[in-house]
Parts: sequence; structure tokens; C-alpha cells
Amino acid sequence: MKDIILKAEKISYSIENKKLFSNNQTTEILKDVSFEIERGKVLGISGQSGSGKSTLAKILSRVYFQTSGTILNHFVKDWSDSLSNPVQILFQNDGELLNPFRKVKDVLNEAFELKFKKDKNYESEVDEIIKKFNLNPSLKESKGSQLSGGEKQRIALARIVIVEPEILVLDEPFSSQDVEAQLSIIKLIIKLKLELNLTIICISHDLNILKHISDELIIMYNGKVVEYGETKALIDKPTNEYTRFLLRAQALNLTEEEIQKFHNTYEQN
Amino acid sequence: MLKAKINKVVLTNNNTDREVLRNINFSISNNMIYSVLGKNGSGKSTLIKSLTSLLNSDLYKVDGKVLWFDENIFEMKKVRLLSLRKTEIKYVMQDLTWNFDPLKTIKYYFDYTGFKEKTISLQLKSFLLPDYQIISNLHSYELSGGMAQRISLMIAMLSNPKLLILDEPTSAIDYANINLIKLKLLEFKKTGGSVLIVTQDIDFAKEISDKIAFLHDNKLSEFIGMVDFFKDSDLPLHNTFLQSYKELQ
Repeated sequence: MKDIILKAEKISYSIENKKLFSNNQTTEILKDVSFEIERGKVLGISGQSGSGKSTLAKILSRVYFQTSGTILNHFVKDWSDSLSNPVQILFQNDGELLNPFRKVKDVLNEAFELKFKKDKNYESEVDEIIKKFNLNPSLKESKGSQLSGGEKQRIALARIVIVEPEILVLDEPFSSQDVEAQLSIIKLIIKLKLELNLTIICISHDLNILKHISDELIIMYNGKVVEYGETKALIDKPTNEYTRFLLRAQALNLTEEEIQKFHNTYEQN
Repeated sequence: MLKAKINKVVLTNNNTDREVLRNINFSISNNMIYSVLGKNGSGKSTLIKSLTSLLNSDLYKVDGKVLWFDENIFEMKKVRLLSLRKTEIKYVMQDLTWNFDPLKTIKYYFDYTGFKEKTISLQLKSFLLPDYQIISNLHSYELSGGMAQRISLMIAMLSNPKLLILDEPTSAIDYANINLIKLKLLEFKKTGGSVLIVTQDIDFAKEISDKIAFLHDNKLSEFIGMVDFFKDSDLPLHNTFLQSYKELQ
């Protein structure tokens, strides 16, 4: 039997623009999104910019709450008296990741305090995690504002791994990384998956990377899941028109007319 | 049009000095697209910010000169510098949702460009963005990463600058939009403008740039043609970089 850790059923999310003198407008961001993940697997999410991928990530990690639909979780541990959340998210914007005024070692130390529920100086643990994430040890004394985008992302990832979540949601973890760092994050994700049996949901535009790391893939367009299936099969034999367009666009040699035309025809359907 | 000769950029913090960049020498001419590749934290963003003295002068000391049509940018008067940044050299920064004021709607930025609604809605359409009515009422935090990137690029290109400086233009968008941005930039290049791109996206740099340089050890290599760049070189760091790139493929 499949060990399903998370099952999302018909999740919808809409926001209401409150207007003083006219009717309120509602904008639907997600429409009937359903999927399930097995424990220890990697689910990749890709698709159009602005199709609601980040919103979905925030709903899964309980930052936002869906307007309708259900999310069922089956966690191994009892999280009721834990100080941290079983689903941890790595945000996309590196401006949102770390407090610009705090030192890296304090940020990491705080995560250990949450994990062990005891305030003290976890110096050796901090050193160890910095080594594990291939970070320069001299960064410990730096403040958030002095780090580059890629460094912030890896420190934020270290911080959420410390509390040992069961599901890790990564929102564009490769976007501001150089190729070397991308490679090391990919290796890290595979290692985390094997060592801690972590379930990972990874949002990325880079289908090349998702092809390597994810077991299943979701393609989104305009708030809807247009294709969902096993990664290799999906990339080799896409059935949806948008997926095929996306894969073709990967070579970056479409003309402006082709893009406009696709946009106009597909939008109307 | 632009000649940079920056001897060094020093970051002073808690009374300790750290050299961020040194011996930066390059020039930018018309109708060209330049890319700078480099590792995380190698100072790419600092490099482009130093060009029009955007760096915080309390923290950064910049030694050198940047000539913009024989005019030293570092010695410009405040008014001249502002008009330079407003019409001649335009930036699109990294991490865009934070470059807009969250309290203002996007309409504020559209109005600020001084262009009519009609012109802007045409541009929005060609960038495949939603209608003017929808987008002008949104706040910056309601935009997706890709939308913010295209809106910023659109606003930057509206005033028809001579030089466009982009920091990671492809970091948060899908392939179709990268494709679109590539076409927009090539179009911009045809009309006489130049583009300086700082990026991690090697595939994109390979597709678009005429010349490419590598920033490492605080130094910028020479700008060279595409084919030469992807040949093996004698720089060890350059090689490991290319190796990781090949491994990723």
C-alpha cells in the first residue's frame, strides 16, 4: 500500500478586492488543485509565471488557508506539542528570507533552540550544519544584509532543515544560485531525501533540474493543474498542449508571433 | 558609450575593510549585449551598482572613474545624476517585489513614467501581461515573481534608455517568458541600445549575449566572444564553473 503523507483535494483559493462604492471583486488564483505525495518522494511543480505555484506552496505550508478543498496529512511524529511546523517552506524572494540585522549564527542558534526547546549556545551544532551545507565558516558572524542571494537561500534552507520537518516545500531554490551551488543544492536535496526520508515539494522553472530530482511532476497554467504524472513519462510524452509549448520554449528559439499566438488561443480555452 | 575603470571598491564594516572589487576595466559600446557570469557573492550586483554610484557611500568607498560619453559619472552633480538614471541608464534589479513600495499600487509607477494609458496598455499586451485595468490596481505583493520582472523591464524600456542594466532577469520566470524577454532585448539592441546583464543563467547568456565575462576573485575577466568563452581556459575557476555547468546538463 502506498504511504501517502499529503493529499490535497480540490484546493481553491481566491482573494476579494474590497471596494467601497461598488461590488467586491473576487480573483480566483487556484482552481480545484488535487494531488497526493508518497512519503520520501520528490514532487516537482512547474508552469507559467503567475499561475499560482507560490500560492499553492504557501497553502501547503499553512501560511495561507485555502478558500475551499481539503488537505489531509499523515505525519509519523506527533507534532501537537512541538514548537515548529511539520511542513517547512523556503521562500522565493531572498529579501524575505533572513532578518537583515541579525547574525547568521544567532539565526541558526534560534532554530536549534526551537528544536531542543532549551535556550543555550549550540556552537558545535551550528558549526556542523554550516559544514554540511558547504558554507564558508566566516559567514557565521555576518548579518543578513551582508549576504548574497545564494548564501541567504542556503542559510535559510539550513535553518528549516534543523527543525526536522516531515515535508519541505522549496519555492524556486535554484533561482539565484550559480551552477556550482545549484549542483550542491541538488546533491543536498537527494541526500536529505535519502537520509531523513524527507518528502520534498520543489517548485522550479528549470525542467532540466526537475527531471533529475523529482519523481512526479505537476504542470500548472492559470491556477489549474494541466498535467500531472510521473516525471519521465510526462516529459517524454506530454499530452497537454501547454506542456508541449513549455518544453518547446525551453530551447529559447520561438518567435514573438508564436508566443503571442499561443497565449491568445490557449487563454480563451 | 561607457568606459569603466574602477581601481577598487572597499566595503567598510565595524571598522574593518574588505575589498569587494578591484581593477575593473571594461567598456560598453552601442548595439551590444554583454553578460557577466560569476559565483554567488562574487560581487556581481555590487559591480553594476557601482557604475552609477548607487552604492551606499557610508559603507562603500569606490575608487576610480566611470566615463559616460566622456563625462565622469562619479563627479556628476546630483541633478545630472538623477536625470542620467531617469532617462539614459536604466536598471532592473534582482528580487523585484521588494523594489516596489508595498503601500502603492502599480498605477503609481505607470503614472510616474509620464506615458499615456494607451501606450502602456499596448506595451503590457506585448509583454503578455494582464490588462491595464487589472494590473494598475494591484499592489506589489500581489504580483508573482515573473510578473514583477516583466513589469519592471517594461517600465525600464518605456523611457527608451541608451543602456539597460539587468540583474538576474530570468531568475523567476518560465521558459516562454524568458523567450519573450530575449526577443524584447534583441529588439532593443536593434534600436541602438546596449544591455549589460548579470546572471547565473548560462543558457540564457549563451543565447543572447555578444560578449561575456567572468567575475571571480574580485576581478573581472575580459569581455570575450561567446565561442571563446565556452572553450576550456587556463583559469582554474573558470573551468570548474564550466564543468558544473556541463554536469548539470
